[in-house]
Amino acid sequence: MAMEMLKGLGTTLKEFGKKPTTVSYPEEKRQLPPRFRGRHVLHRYENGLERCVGCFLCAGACPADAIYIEAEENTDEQRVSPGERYARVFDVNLLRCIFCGYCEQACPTGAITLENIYELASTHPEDLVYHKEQLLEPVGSATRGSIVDWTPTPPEATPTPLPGRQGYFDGLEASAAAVGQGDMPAEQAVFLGDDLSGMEHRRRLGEPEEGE
Amino acid sequence: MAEQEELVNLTIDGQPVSVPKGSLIWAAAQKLGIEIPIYCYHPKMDPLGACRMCFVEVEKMPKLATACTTTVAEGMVVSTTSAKVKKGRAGTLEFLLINHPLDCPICDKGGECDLQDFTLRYGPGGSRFDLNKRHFEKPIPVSENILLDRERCIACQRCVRFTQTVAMENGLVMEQRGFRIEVGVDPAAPFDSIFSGNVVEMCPVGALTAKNYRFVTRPWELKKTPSVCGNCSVGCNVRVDVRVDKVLRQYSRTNDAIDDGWLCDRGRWDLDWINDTERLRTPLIRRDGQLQPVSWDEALRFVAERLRAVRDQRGARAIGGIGSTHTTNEEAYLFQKLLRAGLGTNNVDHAHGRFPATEPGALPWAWSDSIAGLEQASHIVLLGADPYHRQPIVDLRIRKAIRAGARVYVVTPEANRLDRLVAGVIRYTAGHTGTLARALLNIITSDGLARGEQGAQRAADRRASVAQETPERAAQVAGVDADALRELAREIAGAKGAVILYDEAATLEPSGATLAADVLDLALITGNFGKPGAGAGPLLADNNSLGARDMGLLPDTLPGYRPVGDAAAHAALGGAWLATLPAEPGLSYTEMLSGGVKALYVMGANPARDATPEQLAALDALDFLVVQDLTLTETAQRATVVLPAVAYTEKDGSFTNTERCVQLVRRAMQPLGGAKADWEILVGVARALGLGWTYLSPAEILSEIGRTVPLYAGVTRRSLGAEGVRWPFAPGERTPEGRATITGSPSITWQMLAEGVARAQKPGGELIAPRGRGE
Repeated sequence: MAMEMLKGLGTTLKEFGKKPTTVSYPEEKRQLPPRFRGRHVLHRYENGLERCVGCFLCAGACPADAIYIEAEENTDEQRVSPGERYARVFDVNLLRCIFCGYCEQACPTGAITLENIYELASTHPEDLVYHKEQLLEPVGSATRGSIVDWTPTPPEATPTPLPGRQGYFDGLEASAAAVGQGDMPAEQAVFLGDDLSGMEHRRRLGEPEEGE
Repeated sequence: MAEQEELVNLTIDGQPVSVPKGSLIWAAAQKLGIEIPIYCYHPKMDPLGACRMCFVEVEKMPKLATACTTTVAEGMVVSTTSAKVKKGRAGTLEFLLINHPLDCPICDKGGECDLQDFTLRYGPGGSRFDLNKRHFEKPIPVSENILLDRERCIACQRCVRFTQTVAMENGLVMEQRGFRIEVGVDPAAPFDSIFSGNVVEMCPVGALTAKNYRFVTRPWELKKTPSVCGNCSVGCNVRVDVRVDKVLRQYSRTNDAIDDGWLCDRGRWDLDWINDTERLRTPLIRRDGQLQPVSWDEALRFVAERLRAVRDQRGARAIGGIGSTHTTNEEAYLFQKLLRAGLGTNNVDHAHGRFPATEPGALPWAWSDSIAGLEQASHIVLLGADPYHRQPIVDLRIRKAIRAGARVYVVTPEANRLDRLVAGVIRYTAGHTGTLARALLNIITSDGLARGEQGAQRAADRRASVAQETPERAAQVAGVDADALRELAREIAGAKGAVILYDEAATLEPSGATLAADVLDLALITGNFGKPGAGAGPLLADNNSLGARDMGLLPDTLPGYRPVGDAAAHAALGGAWLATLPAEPGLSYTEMLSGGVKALYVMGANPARDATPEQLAALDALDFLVVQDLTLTETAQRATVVLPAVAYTEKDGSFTNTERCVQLVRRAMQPLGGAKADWEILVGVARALGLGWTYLSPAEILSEIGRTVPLYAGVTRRSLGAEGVRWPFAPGERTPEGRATITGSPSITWQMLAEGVARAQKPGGELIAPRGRGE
């Protein structure tokens, strides 16, 4: 009896001087690995436009059916994202989410990533349906998030030079043709001018050009 | 099949197949279930051979052949999987993708795009093209509803060919040549056709997209339910596409007998009334002059109490019911059953055209032939009918008949979209369709144009009744060209097969009281009856106009057109319904609206919208008005009780279209919270009245209809199948599982007419004795 007690006390004494593995949360917070999958963040381009084009691919990839999107068309007066389409509604139900990260893999523009935000608790379930305003990074911030740590450097030469100039479609370097201009420089020369619509062209062929 | 078609034997990928002579390799492969990718070819249009996607290898042919332009030959050996074919298809796709932008993530077609699908299945993994793709201004509108994204176009020309050869409305043209080729709007003909939406559906890429579907969803988010369009009386087979709680569009479900694979823009997109945020979500009872929300229990109890009170105080004849041409057959049947068996009154009617009272066992007023039969007609006459605006897909079938050589005569008061395509156009003063029909009868009976023994007999019967109605008189009254009428009468009389169609609305004109009978006689006398491609009948207004009549929403007939006074029908129906039925005919629609009743039950109709001031006053003077509807209509605003109902996309049931085809409607979405289907409401009211109805589903109601209504004998949800059956029905062969099936008749014959349509296909012995269609 006494022998066992001493044995147990010995274990305690042995560990006494060592550094503890626990941290005293919330005063102290643990350094998380870069690929930790916490809450989603929606990213912006340098020019402030949202990366998300409202394509529904994340919602389609989601095994838990946690993402709900409603898309709408950009106008010149109200431009939210590059290209024609943006997400007017973007809801993530974190109660359904299983933090698998498929959404960020499905995203063609690198708009959504899972970040190391893990303080997700509430006494009201509806608080855990995060809306676009809560998920979106603030204006002025243009991060790329954990996708940088997830995506391997592309191989130098690839058999397919399409669709991105990098040789693969990671969404980071979206081609202008794919999802709009983003913060990429516009593609240089346009192969076919759009200044002449078909009918105008035909009309001009029938008439002598001005100045000729 | 009267004639055995000549078959050709060939082998595709080692599988033998026999197809009719003249078939394309593509169709033969289709029969075997082998996919040959196509872009420019469309099974409903002539081959073009522009896209080079359907390459197959045919033995002994030096080069790859296009499956969509090569007809089959005896002993042909075709391969769709050889290395050469794979290389050919991959090459075509690589070319197509040179200029196709990869904006799939934001393209409306992404997910149901042939270019995406075939690239995945047959395409190269990459491209050797490393220059810049061409770019155009993003979508330009080609019509009010449709946008064109020229970058995405692969120049298959399906859309252009549709507008030019199928719709014959023009609108779209190909502009320029070679790599500059693009789709453009015809400067001479704006693209404003009611069939325009079909080009969006058939575009194999996202070049043509619908404005109202733009960016609203992705195809994989849609729940797709096969159903029937609830718009006009054609009953096109559709796929209802729903996302969460909104109907976004209807796509065609290709039923060659009805829609031939096309849809009109109304059917395709006019669905906002289902998604209307103003729809009712709770029953309302008028208290202190205001409609106030109440629970379903309270509302149903209140309705039953008040109906019972009116019946006890003023008798059953003080209660009336106005049904709808939009609700399902099951609901129409239950509605009249509630009024007749539950409340004991024959005051049941709905808004409909004027059709003379049906003799016992005679032909119910319906199109005696079918939509598909139009293709076989040598002549088509439209009397006061404008199918382009009212039954668009019938109009499209008439265009197909025109291409097959039919002589079409448009006899309408106003300009018609068919005018420029047809053999003859006759104009007259509006309101005189009936005058014209009688003038035609006059010419035919007095000029001896009758054909056949039965025709001559019928002509002799009718000669006296139309003796005064000479074409000269019609010219005077209706401002019509008498000689044109004479020519038309001769054309009808000499036709190999003529179809004469009039609009239901024309029977409501002052001259239209006997229009239905006159037009039928016109067809009978000239021998244009009883065969495909010949016949007569009304083009009805709404999706279930005919079903409402079939189901007895009429004051003088029980379901299946049996007179209310018929003792045998009373015995049969009363036995099934466990009730004694009233024998005297009830009040008509207008009589009920003119103060004939004290309590009015309105299901899915809005009589107040078209009512006269006197009728409105009578509506306001009612003791009790119940309205079942989706929104607070003009009638519902005057109601004592309003019960919220649901649309046809939210319930099961069946519709009967204008050519007598009974088809299944399937629930495509959750019903709006708080609202109930009309049949559920009727069952609720009946139970509150203590009637002990136990229906749990429309399938049960339809089975009861199949048992109790001779015209619908044998009908069950299962026997209607995917494409519906056209009445009169006959018992069909049993399925391998031993289930009973029914078959329909494409056209009504003299024989059926003489014996009475209902008699022709009698299920048991409970039917009334046959009598001729009496004059």
